[in-house]
Amino acid sequence: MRVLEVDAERGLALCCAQAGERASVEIGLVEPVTAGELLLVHAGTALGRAGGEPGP
Amino acid sequence: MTPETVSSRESRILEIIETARAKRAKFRDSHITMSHGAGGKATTSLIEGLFAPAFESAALDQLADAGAVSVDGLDLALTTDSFVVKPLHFPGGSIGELAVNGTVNDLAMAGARPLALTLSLVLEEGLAAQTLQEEVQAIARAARDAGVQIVAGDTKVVERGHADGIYICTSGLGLRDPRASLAPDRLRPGDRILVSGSIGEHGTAIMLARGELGLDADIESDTRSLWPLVDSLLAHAGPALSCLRDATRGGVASVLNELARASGVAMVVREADVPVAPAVAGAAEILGIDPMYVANEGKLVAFVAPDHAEQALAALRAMPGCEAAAEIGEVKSDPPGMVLVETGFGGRRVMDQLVGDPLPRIC
Amino acid sequence: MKFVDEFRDAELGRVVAGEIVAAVEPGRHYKVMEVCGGHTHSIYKYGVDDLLPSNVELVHGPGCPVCVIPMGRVDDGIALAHEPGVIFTCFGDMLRVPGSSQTLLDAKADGADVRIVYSPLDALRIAKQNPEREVVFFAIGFETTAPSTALTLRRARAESVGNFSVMCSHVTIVPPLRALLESPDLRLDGFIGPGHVATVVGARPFQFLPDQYGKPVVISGFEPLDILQSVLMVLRQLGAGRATVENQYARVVPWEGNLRALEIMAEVFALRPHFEWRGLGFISQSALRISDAYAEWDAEERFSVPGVRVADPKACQCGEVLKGVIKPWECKVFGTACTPERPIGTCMVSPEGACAAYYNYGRFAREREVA
Repeated sequence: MRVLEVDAERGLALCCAQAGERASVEIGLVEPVTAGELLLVHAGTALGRAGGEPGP
Repeated sequence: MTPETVSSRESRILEIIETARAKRAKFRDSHITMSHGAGGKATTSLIEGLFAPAFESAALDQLADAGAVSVDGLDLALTTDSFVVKPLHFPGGSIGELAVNGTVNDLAMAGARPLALTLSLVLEEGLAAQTLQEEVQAIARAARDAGVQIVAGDTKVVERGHADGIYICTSGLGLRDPRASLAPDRLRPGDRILVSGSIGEHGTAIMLARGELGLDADIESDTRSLWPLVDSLLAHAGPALSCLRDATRGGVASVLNELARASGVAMVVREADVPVAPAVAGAAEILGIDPMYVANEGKLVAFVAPDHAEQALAALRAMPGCEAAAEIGEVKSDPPGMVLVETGFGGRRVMDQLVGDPLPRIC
Repeated sequence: MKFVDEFRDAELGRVVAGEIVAAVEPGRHYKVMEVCGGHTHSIYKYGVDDLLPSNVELVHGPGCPVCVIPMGRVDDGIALAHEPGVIFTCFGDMLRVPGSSQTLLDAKADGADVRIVYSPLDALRIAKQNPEREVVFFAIGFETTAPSTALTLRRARAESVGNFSVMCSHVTIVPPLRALLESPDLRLDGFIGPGHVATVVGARPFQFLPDQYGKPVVISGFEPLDILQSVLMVLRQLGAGRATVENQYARVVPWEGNLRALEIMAEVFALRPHFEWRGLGFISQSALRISDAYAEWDAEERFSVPGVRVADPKACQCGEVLKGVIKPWECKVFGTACTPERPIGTCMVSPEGACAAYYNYGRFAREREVA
């Protein structure tokens, strides 16, 4: 899902999937995230990034 | 075991399965659960295992959306339906509209022009008068749009907590159209399967409107009267139209399974041709639900002989709101009673009836 | 569905399927286990096995978290759900899993307040909205869902939510794999590794598969093309006589996993000395309990949980089916006493359990083999 907005204080991000479905996602495991990033979300929690770019 | 005995044992087991599948469902549960109202296998067990044997009615045995009654040469159709929905209001409609359109559509699926409805209300003590006024307006509006009159009614009030706001029961009377000869046993291999638009919208809208899943999308219920579509189909395909169903509870998948079983034919659905709005597909994917099993309140499935399929599809697409109508598959002879899907990825699988409601899944 | 991206492209699928045909030795039969229930679901949903040659068989592994929960544990959950004042929350998948006499769906019909949630955070939200009720979350799943539960418990503590607790039935993926590999009658050539679990734990924990057992493993994504590609990678390893851990899902899975998730899990959970798996029996150190630091939110501490033990039905041979030793139809109760409407064993519970899938699809699988 793509990050739309980040609420860093609550550790939540508003994310949207392909066709605009919106859900609030827990981002405690992947912070910091920025709007526009793609996340792998499972049971309402982001487990990792789903960008395709190899990590550092 | 030698290879012969292995394969003969496997064949025997497969035969057992097929016999079990073709049998009339038995009702053996100790309690009623939500599954019995979901339009899947548990509902079938209630209808085939309890109601049909108890009432011994030829019209009921047809298990159609509306029963056929003939009086002095007049061919009528009669049906009834109860409506319970939470929340009462949802994007695209409310319980009042459902109560009119649901019953009107049951008549339409029997090829009957809807004439009149009765209306019974069960109200919960404490219901806001404004809510009731809004629903009565919604009922009046939907009845006007569908061209039916409300000719009788009843009201009961139950103590707070004994009902959830409003329950509505409507019964409908229709005049069977002479152009229509619709029945499951008229299905023939080669018949094309059409749907009148993109599927899964009502059920998804309701699921999201309950707000329990923390998910939000722009999806509206598709509740509408289907009689104008049927009227146009009858005009363009007439007797080539072999059967109609509105894909309510249990969705398109349940309708196809019911008919495949009832008429001993197979059906093959091309998944890539099934119209699904991107928002519905996306929400369904997140929740782990297949839109084929999600309820519609304004979509019909039509079976048409191949030589009239094109006209029928064109007739559907010409109706406002039905631009996405599509041919999604074909009736086959083998394996009888089964619905197969050719997936968009090129594989094949069985699309069985669910036991109860599709449940959001995590794994 | 008009919802096709490159990983669902039928053309590309056929290309990879062709490469698979080219990679198999004629006359050799391959059994590859997909470990994760999510893969099984994709295989079923897209008909992936329809694209494989008949001598490449996919064996559905133990990675469906719903299916491996033993009956006694379901009974415990139902007992909790019946406690006065309790709102019992769980994932939708759990509702129809049979306990010894009831499912949670039956318990709901009996008056228990059972609610479906999409995430443990939703359960916590229900607790905050109903301060006068006790809200219990039935936590199931592998290392994919465990981090969600862990974060939720941290939140419950940070926000001092006193009426929330978790009945922890989280399990870990490596011990059951080891148990499978230790069994003398195992017949598997290689593994498709669980992509989402690996996002959390990384690829390294799967190193023992090639190192100690000489079996290739490919960590795979969940789209149909991912799975086909991973099958091809396993077959190529087998063809070359290699056995290593390969990562087909590198676009998501980092080699070392998500370290923060592992840290939080270590804080919130502790290993159970042993745990019973439906069909597989007791496996040591294969499940998680809530750590002492979070005992206040442990439903098993807060309520008296009966701790029911129910032996797997004797006739049920799910264990052998999971190990790939027998085919579903070779089980004594398959298709007669055990059907999708009235499942006895785990493999029949969810529609893509090995037995349920065969019940529905068997005839076509067989026709394909004959053809």
